[in-house]
Amino acid sequence: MIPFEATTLHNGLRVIAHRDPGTPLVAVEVLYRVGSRDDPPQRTGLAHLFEHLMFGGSAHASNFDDALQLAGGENNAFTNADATNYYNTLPACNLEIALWLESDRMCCLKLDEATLRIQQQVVIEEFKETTYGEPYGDAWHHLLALAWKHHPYRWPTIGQSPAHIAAISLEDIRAFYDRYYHPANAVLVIAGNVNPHHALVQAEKWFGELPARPMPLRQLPVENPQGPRKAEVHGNVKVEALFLAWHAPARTHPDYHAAELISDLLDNGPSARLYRRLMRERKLASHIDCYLSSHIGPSLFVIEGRPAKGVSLVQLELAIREEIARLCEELPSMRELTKVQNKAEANLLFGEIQVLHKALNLAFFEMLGDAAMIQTEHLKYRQVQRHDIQRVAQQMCSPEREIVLYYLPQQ
Amino acid sequence: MPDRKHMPSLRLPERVRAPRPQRIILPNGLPLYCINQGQLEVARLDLVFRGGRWTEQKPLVATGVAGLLMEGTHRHSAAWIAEQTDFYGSSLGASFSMDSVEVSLFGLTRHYAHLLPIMMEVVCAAAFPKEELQSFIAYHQARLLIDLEQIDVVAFRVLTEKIFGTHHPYGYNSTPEAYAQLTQEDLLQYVHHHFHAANAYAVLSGRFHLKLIDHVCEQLAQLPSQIAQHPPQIDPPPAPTGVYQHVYMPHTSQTAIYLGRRLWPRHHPDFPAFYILVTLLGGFFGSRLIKRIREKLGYTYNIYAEMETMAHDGYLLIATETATERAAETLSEIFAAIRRLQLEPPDEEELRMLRSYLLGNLLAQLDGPFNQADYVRTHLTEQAPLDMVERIIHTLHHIKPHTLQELACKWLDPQVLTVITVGPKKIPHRKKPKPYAY
Repeated sequence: MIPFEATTLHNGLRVIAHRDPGTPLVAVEVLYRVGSRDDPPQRTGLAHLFEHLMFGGSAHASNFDDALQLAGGENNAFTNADATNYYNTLPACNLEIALWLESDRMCCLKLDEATLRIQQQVVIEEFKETTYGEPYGDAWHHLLALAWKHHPYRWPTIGQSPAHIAAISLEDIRAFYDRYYHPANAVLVIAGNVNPHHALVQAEKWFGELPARPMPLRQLPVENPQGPRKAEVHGNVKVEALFLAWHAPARTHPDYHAAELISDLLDNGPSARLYRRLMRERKLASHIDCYLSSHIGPSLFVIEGRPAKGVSLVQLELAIREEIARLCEELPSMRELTKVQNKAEANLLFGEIQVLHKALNLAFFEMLGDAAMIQTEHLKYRQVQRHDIQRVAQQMCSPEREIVLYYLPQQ
Repeated sequence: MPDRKHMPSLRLPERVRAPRPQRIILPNGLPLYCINQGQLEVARLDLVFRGGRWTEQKPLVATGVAGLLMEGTHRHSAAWIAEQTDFYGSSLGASFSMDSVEVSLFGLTRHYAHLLPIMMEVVCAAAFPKEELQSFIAYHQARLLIDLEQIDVVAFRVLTEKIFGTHHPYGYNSTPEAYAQLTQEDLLQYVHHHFHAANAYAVLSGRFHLKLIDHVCEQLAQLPSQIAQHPPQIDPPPAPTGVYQHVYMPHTSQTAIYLGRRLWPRHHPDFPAFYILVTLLGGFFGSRLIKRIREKLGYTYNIYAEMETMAHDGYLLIATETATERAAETLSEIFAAIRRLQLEPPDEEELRMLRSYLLGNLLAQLDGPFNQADYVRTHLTEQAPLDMVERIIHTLHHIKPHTLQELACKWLDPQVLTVITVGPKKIPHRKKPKPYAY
């Protein structure tokens, strides 16, 4: 249980406050409902580049980081396909400083050509470091482009290419800020050693006067996955790799929790099926991973594998397919289902250890529709039955809709 | 209407207290440190065996022990151990550091009765099956092949090897050959020599009833109480001399720049003040290196300076990955930042921000029982005083700007910094800056 108080300011800002008496800190999180799915198709990477510009100072606070650090705080931010998160932790007595800074950059961010140019360079270096500098670092570029042909999930948050990032103009940036950065499109969470009532009053003080602006309309294409898709790409790697993926239920779909338990059955912990059978017992893989992507809807169910020495990619693929077939044909044992439910429940509890995680989770569920969903999340895992696992596996992992990416060393 | 023009008044934490864990000595001599805090019924038990790389008979044995500890005991298979710990939503694992091998259990306290005996079985009766050792070796050889394609990995390996020497426990690197030479006998020997009460300590952290402490004590008492062995004689690393080396990697999109030098362990008298200096240079977002090389010039996504300490030694690391065409300028900028620290004391305003940031950061580093447990383990393993954080804070409040300048002259002499660059193009050779005269 994470008890909280919530309110909506007249300008539409949702505010959530949670008290944690066990920490000397307070976490202040501002989530904006904007992510790389809102990038213009010829300017991908815009939402993420914009995140960098949010640290360039605002009308009344010339340097965000300096001011927060003076208050003993630390901050950072991250962007994904659906949302952009800005978070601060600082001694609880300095809550107002974070609210001053966050409210000021919500209304009055400084945007200039010089800062944009520098952050474009920084982000292009980030692109190189994470996409070209990591082995298989551009696999997601290829995989997403296979999985979606129309939906803006088809490019990764960092952007499709450095050229896209370099082409973003100050006008693009200004328009983006006006459209997405305002109270009604945001969620503010204050969690820590503060009286929740006091926190809401402070939030009203700093954010209440910001002008209301209309919620951006978003029309995302509905893309029904059709036909198997397959691609072979070459990169600067020594070992070939396989990515097998299917479209998965959206985060708010009733089958989402079953899909997540399926990925846990396959690959969460040392007893999980893919790890135990393919890596440890049959020694076919040197690496295996299975997860649901973080897209809130629809997401991707992904299995990554690299064959062990002397094993071919095709052999590994066959073995993975056998495990998928088993999921579709046989019910998991009661013990195995209980195991992944216990793990899911424990992980939810572990997420309550750090006050910052609580703040991020409250904001996430509020973005999904209601922060209170966090209280019943564990029940949703418990409600999944053995036949749900089988049914969802059959629906999700259909051969007609599979996405296969072979990542091979350069010839 | 709030006053936006002025920063709201701020207060800084008056006191940051070092953790003071309760210490219990078990009948077999094992010290157990307890940190009973937090609101969730979750606990972590860390059992730390001293030694790590420092006391290995041959390279990678400590890595092998940690990597294979969960792969079966004389009574139970790896699959059984994995299923039991997963079933209770917990994790049981082993890790190694330069100076220790650690076994950790993390989970809900209500399941500890089931889990503790498994943890003790793993510690007291690990079998290290030959077949599992072979797949461990194959896995790590394959992994190494992939890792060595990354410029940051290569730069780090070459730098630490230069600082400590190819055969020094803190300096050697893993190789496919060294993995191939690991035997089951090596791992069993290591456990025999290290896994006993006189060479270990335990930390229990989280929120728990006193009954759990009794239960933990009862289980840990099974650990044999042997007399600790004499530590081996290790040849000291070479004296620090600046080396420039470029490693050519043709197909990389960036250049890695890694600088460093040998320092000393955490209990060195200069540690608190130098910790503050390194933070100013590159330890946070307001640091000199970030503000200039990332935020002013846009040459890199990330650049940092940090001090790494071990039980018997330590080193300074300055690291970045940068646009290859900007690598030469980036390196000059790093030397310029160092030189500025040597030429002029930081001004009061900058020190004020550093002080506030570090106070808040240290407070956050000690937030909650598990962060406190990390702190306690770091200091116990490195044999540093447990009140170190209070010493840092005392230094932070009293340090004079010129003391930081003196420290920069003393420990950041460009002549003894080793510089490793990795990328597609050699950085134009340039003369090293002259040492600052002092």
